[in-house]
Amino acid sequence: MIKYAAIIISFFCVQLLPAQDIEYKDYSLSASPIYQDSLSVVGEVSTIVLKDKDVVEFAFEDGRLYEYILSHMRMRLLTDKSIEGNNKVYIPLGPGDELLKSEARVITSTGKVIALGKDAIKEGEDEDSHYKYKYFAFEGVEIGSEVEYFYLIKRSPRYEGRSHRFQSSSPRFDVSFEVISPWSLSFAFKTYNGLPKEMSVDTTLEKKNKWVIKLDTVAQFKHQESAFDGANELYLIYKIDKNLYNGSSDIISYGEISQRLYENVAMYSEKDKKSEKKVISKIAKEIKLSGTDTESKVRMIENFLKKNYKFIDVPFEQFKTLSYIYENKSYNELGAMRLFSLLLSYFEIKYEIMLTSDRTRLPFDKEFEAYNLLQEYFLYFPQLGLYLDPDNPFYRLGYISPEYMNTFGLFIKPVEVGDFITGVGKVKEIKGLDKDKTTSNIYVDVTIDAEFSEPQYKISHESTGYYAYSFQPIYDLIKEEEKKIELSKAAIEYIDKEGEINDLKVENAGGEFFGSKPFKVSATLDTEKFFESAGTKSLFKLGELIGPQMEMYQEEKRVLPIQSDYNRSYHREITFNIPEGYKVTNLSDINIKETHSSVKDDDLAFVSSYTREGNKIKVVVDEYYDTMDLPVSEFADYQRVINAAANFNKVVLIFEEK
Amino acid sequence: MEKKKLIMWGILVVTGVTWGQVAVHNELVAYKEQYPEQSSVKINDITHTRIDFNKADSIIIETTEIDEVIYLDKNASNYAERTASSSYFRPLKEIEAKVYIATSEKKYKTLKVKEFKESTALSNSFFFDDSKQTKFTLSSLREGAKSYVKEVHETTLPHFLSGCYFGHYGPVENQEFKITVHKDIRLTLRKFNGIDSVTTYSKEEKGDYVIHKWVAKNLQEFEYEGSSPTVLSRIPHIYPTIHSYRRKGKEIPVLRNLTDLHDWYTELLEKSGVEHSEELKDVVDSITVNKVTDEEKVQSVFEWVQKNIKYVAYEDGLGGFVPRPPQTVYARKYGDCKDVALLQVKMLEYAGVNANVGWVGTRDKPYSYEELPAPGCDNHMIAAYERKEDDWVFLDATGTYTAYGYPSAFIQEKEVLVHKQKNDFEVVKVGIVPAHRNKIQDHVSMSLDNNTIKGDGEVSFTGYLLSNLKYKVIGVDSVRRKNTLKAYLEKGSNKFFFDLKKTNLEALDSGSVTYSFTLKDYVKKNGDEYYINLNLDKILSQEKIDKTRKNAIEHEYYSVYDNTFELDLKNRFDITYLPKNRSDEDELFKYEISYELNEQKIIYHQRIEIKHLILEKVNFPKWNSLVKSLNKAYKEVVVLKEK
Repeated sequence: MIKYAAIIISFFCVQLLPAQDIEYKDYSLSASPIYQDSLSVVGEVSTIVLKDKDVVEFAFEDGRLYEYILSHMRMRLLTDKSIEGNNKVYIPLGPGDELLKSEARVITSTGKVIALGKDAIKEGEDEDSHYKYKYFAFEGVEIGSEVEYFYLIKRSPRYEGRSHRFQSSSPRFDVSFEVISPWSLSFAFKTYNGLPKEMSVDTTLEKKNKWVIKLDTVAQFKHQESAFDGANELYLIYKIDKNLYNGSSDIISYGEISQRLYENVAMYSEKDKKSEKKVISKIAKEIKLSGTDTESKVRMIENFLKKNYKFIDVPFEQFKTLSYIYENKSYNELGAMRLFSLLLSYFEIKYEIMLTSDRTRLPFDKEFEAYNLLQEYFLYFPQLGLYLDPDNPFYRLGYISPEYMNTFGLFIKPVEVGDFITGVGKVKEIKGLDKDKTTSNIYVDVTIDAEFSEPQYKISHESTGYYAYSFQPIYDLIKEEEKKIELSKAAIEYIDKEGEINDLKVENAGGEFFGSKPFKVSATLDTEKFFESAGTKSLFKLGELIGPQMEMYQEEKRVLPIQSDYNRSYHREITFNIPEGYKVTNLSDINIKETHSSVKDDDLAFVSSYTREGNKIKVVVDEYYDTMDLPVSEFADYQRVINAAANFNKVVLIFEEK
Repeated sequence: MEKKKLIMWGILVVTGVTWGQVAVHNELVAYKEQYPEQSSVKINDITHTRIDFNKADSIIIETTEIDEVIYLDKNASNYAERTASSSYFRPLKEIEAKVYIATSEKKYKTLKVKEFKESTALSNSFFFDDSKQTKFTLSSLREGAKSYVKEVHETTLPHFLSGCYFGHYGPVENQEFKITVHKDIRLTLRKFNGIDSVTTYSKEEKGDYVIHKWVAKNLQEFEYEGSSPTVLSRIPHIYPTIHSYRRKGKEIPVLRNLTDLHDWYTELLEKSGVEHSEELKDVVDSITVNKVTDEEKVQSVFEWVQKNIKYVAYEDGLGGFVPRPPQTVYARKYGDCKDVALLQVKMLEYAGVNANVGWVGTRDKPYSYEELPAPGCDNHMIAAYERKEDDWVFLDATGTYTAYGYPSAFIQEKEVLVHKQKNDFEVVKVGIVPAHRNKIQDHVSMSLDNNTIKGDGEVSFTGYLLSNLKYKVIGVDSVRRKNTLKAYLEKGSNKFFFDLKKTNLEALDSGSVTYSFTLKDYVKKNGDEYYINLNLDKILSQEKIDKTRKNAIEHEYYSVYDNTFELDLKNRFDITYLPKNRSDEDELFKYEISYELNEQKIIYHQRIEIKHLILEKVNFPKWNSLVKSLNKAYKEVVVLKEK
């Protein structure tokens, strides 16, 4: 949450209260653990979680607020894989975090307890996150053993919005989560996916608040295709809400943060105003903006910055300082936002700042304001109805990572108050892109000779949107010609990996074309893949010319709703000839039609048909998905359309002599 | 001419001469022209190893490495975060880093890195790693900038001289390797992969020192491709070792030969601190109680250790060469390769069977002990048991599912340095496990119901194919297991409805799966004719090798796929067309596809044997033509007619 590091919430000030001991300061593992022989677990499992207790306690010390994290886990490991996955524990420690206490032990199936010595704990640092870890391996673990540990960490408080998850791929017992705070600080909670709606309030503590969720059992979470695991798990979000001491409430509010974020992003810094303005006007000149309409202006600015500047994912201050950015041609997330925003303002292009969360993991809740839902920055152009992701070098205007669309978000726009400009935020819907914004179209022209020995294939594969995303921008990163060819070939190899690809042509390869022009690869194909011989007859595997299709033929009972990353459509045209003296008896196999109306009429469809002109056959296949979320009750319909495409793969035409 | 100037420039930097007249901009343009497909070019890669005596008359090895790079595009900042590694064997003594950035078309400005941060990194491959990372940032790296990094490492461990590798995953303009060695220290210079053809060598004597120097110019980049054999098998390199040294008239051996290496390894092994453990002995007694022959005992100890001691990797200085004592490993229930090797030997000693520990290099280390009698030759330890004279069984209990009698796949063809006792060792070569011992054999009985195929199958697995399967299906939930097996056994098309009847995967040496399936819309019906392609599993059909591939391909093991699919016609069909039998073979692989009619059954048989570990580039055309021939065979369809 780098975005808020600079924002100091001032409401704590000095609390004239004596420091209180934290509840779990003397926590330890029970003296004589019992290995319970029978556990009521249905089915075959690898790991059983017997206890998962997490406590977050906020407490003052010397006038400062701290957070204490207690995490206590006990697991029974029933397979080798489970032992290998759970016989080591890594305790994460961010900068300044302090490990106050930890214990770890093994309880074997015979009840023997092996406590881990203090000297077994090692230290290391994760190269990417720069987190320090204390870690250890359990000793004496056998199949059926239980591992148990707890640790208590003291760290700076995080209260602006945090999530806590209750589910995993293992069945769990005795799962609890507690938040404890001084009496003056009140927290708000929101639960999801079937957790109890309300936290229970424990009033037994003196001068402290305590909120608890305790679940005796939590079922294991089972992954299903076309559903987002994280978004469907049991979880909650908590945040500080009120400070009774000074009477403030709604402490975490988008009104407050919108102002600050706007100032941070879209305004020149007070300190360096002059030099910053200079940098912006220098870059503005370099862009040599031409064009009249807003869209082409934005595209020019975006292409210029993404071509010449580089995104570096680091929190360092200098990467958001305009003079440093200009000199080093690199920015971080905030730096990119600032550079884009200030340039857009310079060119008097209207935009809003948008923030939202990953809908596949922690969907934005339009009714619960929490800063952990403000994960990623984007720009929104109200006149165009389009979004832009400044720090992503690959996306271009109109496209942002799909997990941040089809949801809600916080939109911040400038408002003039007298001479003063400030940001005002509003929660609004972020519509997902329509099906025609992400397409994959295939055109195949097959010339069949009378001997069926050397059919000729001309193939063209055109894609846009998220399908072009894995191609177009990549060309900017590759310098070797050979590797570029390899990448282009992949668009054809998708249909056939056996054959020889010749006459390869590529159009619109490069990030600047993404979002505005389709990525196009055409080639001729020398292959034997699509014909088989059955004595005197030839079998033409027409259906495989659209490339392999996803299938959902044999599914477990559907529990989760159907969720897609984005809407999409596919158009394919295949033409072929019937050689002189031959006939095809089963052309009608080509005709398939499956549609479903969920939110809109026919928003899911697979339709294939053919027309005949003399010996020429033209097959047209249209398939699209224009709704991203379907309730579990419509799974059979979704399955029917998905499988229609997979069924088309099985269309084989039989050529026989007349 | 231009090139020469550039190289000169590189040397100037090293010697610290300032420069203001170099046409900075032109230089960048020239590099971009010369290397249009590169983001960066190594201008200088210089290693200087000084081997001398310290005041205590022991050997000191100081290695200075200088790395200079020019960046040709905006991806330069990708190279900003740097790490210098330091380990017990190569402690970092000194580090210096600079960035040169163009301030105008004519001048560079020097930015010296001031902040270096040492940390102990978590390692993905080791649970514990003693190495330390010194991190620093080459800030301001950008198009046209250059970087200069100098590291000095110093050690007094005479056995650990590093090799020098000529080449890089990018072009190198100038690479030098210089060794300055005191004349009382004798070196052995071991050369690999045609070092003489890429370098010029010079030797010079200066006072008490001998200076060896190898210089290479304009080295092409080393291409990375998946499934390539170890880069050490093709990159030219020099591996120097200290043969011996003379002090006070005495000749002190270091690594003159394999005997010296073994002696030194033995010294380290003896530091283990093995103690008697009654508890461990009880375990041995209980698992060998009904075992009669030595080999039965060996197998039961191997399997016990494999099952009960989890593999946890350690990298811990010289401790990396000293196995932890068996009594400790037994109590902890985890250990690394050398720990479980010694544990097995100790347990077998309790069982009254003689076994030995042995050092071995995995296939990543392409050396024999004769070529390189030095620690660089190996990286692994196992136990070995000589069941008959010259008939060894290798016991690598770190592989969870390796069957008794199989070496780990990654030591096939390698040598094991078997430790018999102090001053006694034997080098034993690990063979290649023959194809028929790594087999998937699938037998299916099918019948036709309209255009749906219904089948019952039983498939057996052995060897590495079995252990690979086990990693995927054991210890996972039943849905995943079923889906994994379904993907393994899918036939015809993905309209394959799979029913898992029984898995029998408990044993280590062989396993089987019983299943049934329904395959829909695969058989094509045309009037009273039915078309069925019985090549339901088109193994290798997509394995054509791309013409542009540069490196050889390494397969992990030889293997056999043997499928028998019987189609029962149940007196309802006549056969209109039965494809011809086909087969083809060369020294790399072999296939056979046959159709046989037995009473009312068509018996389709497919056998594919892969019999090589390394597929050399010269053999790619041969391989491709076999794949093509196989694909032709896969196009043949059986035609039936309803009676």
